[in-house]
Amino acid sequence: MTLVIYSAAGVTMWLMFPELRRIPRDACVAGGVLILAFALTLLHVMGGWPFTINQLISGTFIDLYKLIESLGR
Amino acid sequence: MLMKERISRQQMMWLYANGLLGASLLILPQVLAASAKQDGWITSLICAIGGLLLVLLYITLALRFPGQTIVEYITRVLGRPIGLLALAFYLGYIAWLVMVMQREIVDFFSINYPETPIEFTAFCFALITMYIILGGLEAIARVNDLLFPIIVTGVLVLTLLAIPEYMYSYLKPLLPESIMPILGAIPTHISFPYGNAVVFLMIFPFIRNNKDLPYAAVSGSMMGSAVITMIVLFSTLTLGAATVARVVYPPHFAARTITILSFLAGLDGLVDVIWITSNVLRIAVFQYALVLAVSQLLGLSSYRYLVIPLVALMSVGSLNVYRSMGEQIEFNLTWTPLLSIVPYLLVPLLVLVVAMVRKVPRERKPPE
Repeated sequence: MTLVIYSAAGVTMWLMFPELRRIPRDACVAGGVLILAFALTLLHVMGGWPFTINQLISGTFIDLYKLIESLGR
Repeated sequence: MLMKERISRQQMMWLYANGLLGASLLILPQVLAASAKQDGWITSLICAIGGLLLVLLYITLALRFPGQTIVEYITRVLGRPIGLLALAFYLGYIAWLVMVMQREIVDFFSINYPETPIEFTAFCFALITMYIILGGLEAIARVNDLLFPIIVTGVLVLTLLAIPEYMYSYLKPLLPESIMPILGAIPTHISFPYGNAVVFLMIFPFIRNNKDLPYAAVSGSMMGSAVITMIVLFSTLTLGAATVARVVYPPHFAARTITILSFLAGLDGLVDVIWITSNVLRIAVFQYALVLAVSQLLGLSSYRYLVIPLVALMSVGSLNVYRSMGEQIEFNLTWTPLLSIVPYLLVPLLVLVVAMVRKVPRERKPPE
C-alpha cells in the first residue's frame, strides 16, 4: 500500500507540475530508487512483508509450471 | 556511459578467484556433505571442470564484444523484447545473489552478537559497501590485491595446522552408493559458486588488455576451485561427513578442534576473519556489477548516482530474502539449481549462439 501511495503521488506530481520533467534523468532514477528503498524499509519496520523474496520466486514458478502443465493437457 | 577504469591481469585473476570464494568458504562443505557425504571433495573436483567450461563460455562472449558489458550488447544481439527479458533474469539473479550474500554475513554476525538487531548490522554493512563501491572498481581491485593473499594464506595455514587432527578414515568408504550422490550434487555445486561468476560479464570489459583475459579468468577459476576443494577436504577430514552435514558453518567448527602444542588454539577466529574479508569483497564486486548494469540499462551518465539508493534497496531486501537459515538451505537445494541455470548458462549461451549465427558486429555503431 505504501508503494502504491508513493507511486500515485509521484505520477500526480509529474502530471501537475510540468517543470518537474526538466529534472535530470539521473536525479529522477536515483530519487525513485531511494524512495522505493525508503518505502520498503518502512514496510519492514512495520512488519508488513507478507512473504519472503524466496517464497515469491518459488511460488511464482510453481504457479507458472502448473499453468504450463494445464495448458499442455 | 564512458568506462575509464582499467584493471590489470593479476587484479582480474584475483578478483575472479575471490568471486568464487566468499560464502562458499563457510557454507559449501555442508551443502556438499548433505548430498555427496564423504565424497564431497570428488564433487568439488568434478565441478571445477564444469566451472572451467563456464568461464570459457564467459570469456568467449567477452572477447566477442570487447570493451562492452552484457547490458550494452544483449539487446543488440537478441532484439529489444527478448533482450530485455533475458536482462531481467540476469539482473534479478545478481540482485538476489547480493541480497543473499548480505543476509548471510548479517546472520553470521547475529550468531556472535545475538542482542544486536540484524537491521543495525545490515545498515553498517550497507555503509561499508557504499564506501567501497564509490571508490570504483580500481579501488576494489587494489583492496583485493592486498587482502586476497591473506585469504589464501589463511586457508593454507589452517589446512596445514590441522594435519595432526585429520582422520583419514573419514574419507572411506569411497563411493559407497556408486556415483549417483556425486552426480546429484553437481547441479547445486555448479550453480553455487561457479554459476555466480556470470556477474563477471559486467567486470571483464575493464581488463587493461583483452588478450590477458583468458589467462586471468581461467587461472582465477582454477585458484578458486583449489581453495574450495581444500576447505571441503579440511572440514571432512577434521569433523567427518556426518557432522559436516549437520552443523551450519563446518569450517568454523573444524578450526575449533585444532590445538597445537596445547597453546595455539581457538583458530575459529581465523576462519571468521578469512570468510568476512572474502565475503565483503565479493559483495562489493557483485554490488558494483549490479549498480553498473542498472545505470547502463537506464542510460545514466554515471553509476555513482545509483550507489546509495541501490545499496539501500538491496540492504532492506536482504532482511526479507528468507526468514531462517533452514528456508535458505531448502531453497538452495531445490530451487537454485533449477532457476539459476537460466541466467548463468542459458542467457550467455543464447547471446553467444545468436551473435554467431546473425554475425552481429563486434563494435557498437557510432552515433550518426
